[in-house]
Amino acid sequence: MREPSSSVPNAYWRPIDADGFHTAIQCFDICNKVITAVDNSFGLATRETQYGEGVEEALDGNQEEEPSTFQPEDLSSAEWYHQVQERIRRKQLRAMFEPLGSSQNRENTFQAFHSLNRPVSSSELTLSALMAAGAHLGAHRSRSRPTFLPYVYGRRANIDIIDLDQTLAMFRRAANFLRLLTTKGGTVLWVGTEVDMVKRAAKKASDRVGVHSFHISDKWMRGIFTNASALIGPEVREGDYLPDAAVFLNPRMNLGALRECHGAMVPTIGIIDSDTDPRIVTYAIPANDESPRAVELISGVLSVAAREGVTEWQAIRAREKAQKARRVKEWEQRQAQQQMGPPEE
Amino acid sequence: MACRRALASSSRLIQRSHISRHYATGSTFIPPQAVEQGIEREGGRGDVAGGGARWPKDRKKYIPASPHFYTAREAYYRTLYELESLERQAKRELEQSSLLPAPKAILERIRRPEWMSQAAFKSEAGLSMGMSMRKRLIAVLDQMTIWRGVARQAGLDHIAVTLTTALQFYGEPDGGQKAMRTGQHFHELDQYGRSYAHGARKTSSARVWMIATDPSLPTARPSEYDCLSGSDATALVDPTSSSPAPPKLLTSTILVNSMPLATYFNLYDREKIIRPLRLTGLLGAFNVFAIARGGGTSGQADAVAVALGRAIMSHAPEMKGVLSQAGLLHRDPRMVERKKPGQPKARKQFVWVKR
Repeated sequence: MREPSSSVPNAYWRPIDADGFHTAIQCFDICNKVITAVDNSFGLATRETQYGEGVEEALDGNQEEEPSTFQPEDLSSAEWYHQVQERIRRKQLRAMFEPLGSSQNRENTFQAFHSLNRPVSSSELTLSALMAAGAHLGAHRSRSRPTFLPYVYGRRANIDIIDLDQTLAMFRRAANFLRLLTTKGGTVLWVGTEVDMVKRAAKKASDRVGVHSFHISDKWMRGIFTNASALIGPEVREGDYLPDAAVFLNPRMNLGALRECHGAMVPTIGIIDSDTDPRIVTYAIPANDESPRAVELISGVLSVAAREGVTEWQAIRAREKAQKARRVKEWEQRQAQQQMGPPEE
Repeated sequence: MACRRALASSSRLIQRSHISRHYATGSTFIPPQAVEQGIEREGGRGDVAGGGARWPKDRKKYIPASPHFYTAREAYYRTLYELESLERQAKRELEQSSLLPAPKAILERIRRPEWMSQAAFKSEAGLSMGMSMRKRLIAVLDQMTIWRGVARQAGLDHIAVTLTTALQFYGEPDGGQKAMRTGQHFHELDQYGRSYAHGARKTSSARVWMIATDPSLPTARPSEYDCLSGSDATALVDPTSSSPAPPKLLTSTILVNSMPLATYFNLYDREKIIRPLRLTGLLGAFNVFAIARGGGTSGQADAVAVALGRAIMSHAPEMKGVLSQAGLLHRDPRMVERKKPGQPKARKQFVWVKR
């Protein structure tokens, strides 16, 4: 393992702080030229009035340190250092100019990962949001399933278009079910298999709920509901280990798992596309199961609903605990008073 | 026939559905809670076989502690996700420090440790894993090693230390001698300077060992020779001599299945095998011993050619551009297509008869 070359002078190669920017004055020196150019172009006052005197001192002090005739022994380290310098310079420039331009920036513009990381509450979910995510785009007409017909709005461009009015209503029903379930202390199992984006969405949803939440991302172990002691171990025998609900993000690929859920009487929620029979799950959400944005949107909002229920459950438990503690304390006080009372009289 | 009619009718319904909606059912179908036959299973719900709606008062619920309980691989997934989150955290910190992407020269210095074997994982970590599960875990460990190497070379010791403490359990962090695998993997030369490579075409496969005819030439061990200084490279023609001596004529022996090349293969196949050596100008530089099995002559010839190209890469990695442009590193994936029923061959159809 090669150590960073000791022949490189320490002043040239500065360690980078954990917060990601050079605290070294080199940054100011690099940007100095840009700031001067900006000042000159805008006809602004000197640097002192804008940035204070500390900068002047620092810049003056830096003149000696900057090596002008540096010959790096190690080509790749120097090349890397220059790359890093360039990147930092560009970041500084961006940070400097961002507040001067348009008010639209990366933070308030939609990015692809927002559907996964920034879900909304089910009461805030709108039809246009579903449509923007492509939830209305069903499967090709050749794969159209007759039992899905009630949820089809029409057909366009050789695909079935899903009726989002119904989707929204059925989605809210499923979300309310999850919320009520977790309010009562119920457990939820998130299942997303075979497809990367579905696996990610399932894990993210489970992590978001946090408490009383499980997930399966890779493989459904057959018999996990009916024969768990053989798969996991004897510790499972104590009590009922089944989840109170199972959410399937791609039920079409998990028919065996759904069969097990049905046999074990675990209610299921599933995203049903137009090529799938909606009767295979308990609470069907007719929507596109092939688009990452649609799946992430639906799983995100469902997880938010479950999380709300969990928060409520925790609040109720905390309240009950506090009440119980108060009652115990009052009883103890009464006991103490009774003991102390008679001798005083 | 009936299903086609049904599909046609549903298609007509769909076309009209935007005008007046036909609902097959008034509300969402909810399966009945009652189950006719009681399902015998452990877990406590077996005693409510008939109804299912009743809940026993003394119902004891076992809430698993781990979110990966229902995968039946709790320990493995816990380990995997912990390591993945560490890896992502390290990557994020490196990105925030503007260190990524690091140049190739920096990444090439990072050595790949020897990770624990499957048996060791089971005995020491208590993780019994299949091959695909192990591959996934090793991929995460490899990536963490790369971030650790980058952090070390940048001087970010706190990241390197965090990653080292996590990786130490799974293998010697600094014990590796091999470079990290990037892209196609070429074997390194053994103690005698021989390279080994494998090639295949259709059902033929070939194993090839190559050794330099003249060990003093740069092509034998290119990594030991510094192209910039050029002091150690011995030229074929000695520039200091007064009279120009004739260049050394190198001849190499190529044996396939212990037979000379000319005996085993015909002219056309011979030329295919020699092509990688011709294009790189290394015709007399190596002695080749090949074992070819399976298939026919032409398939074996192609297999040997691919293996030769890979063996040349082990000796002289700078030939990558030449060889890959000529397609000599590419294993032809075409295989014999299967015969289909109702046809005499894969594509050939029976003669059409009017009646």
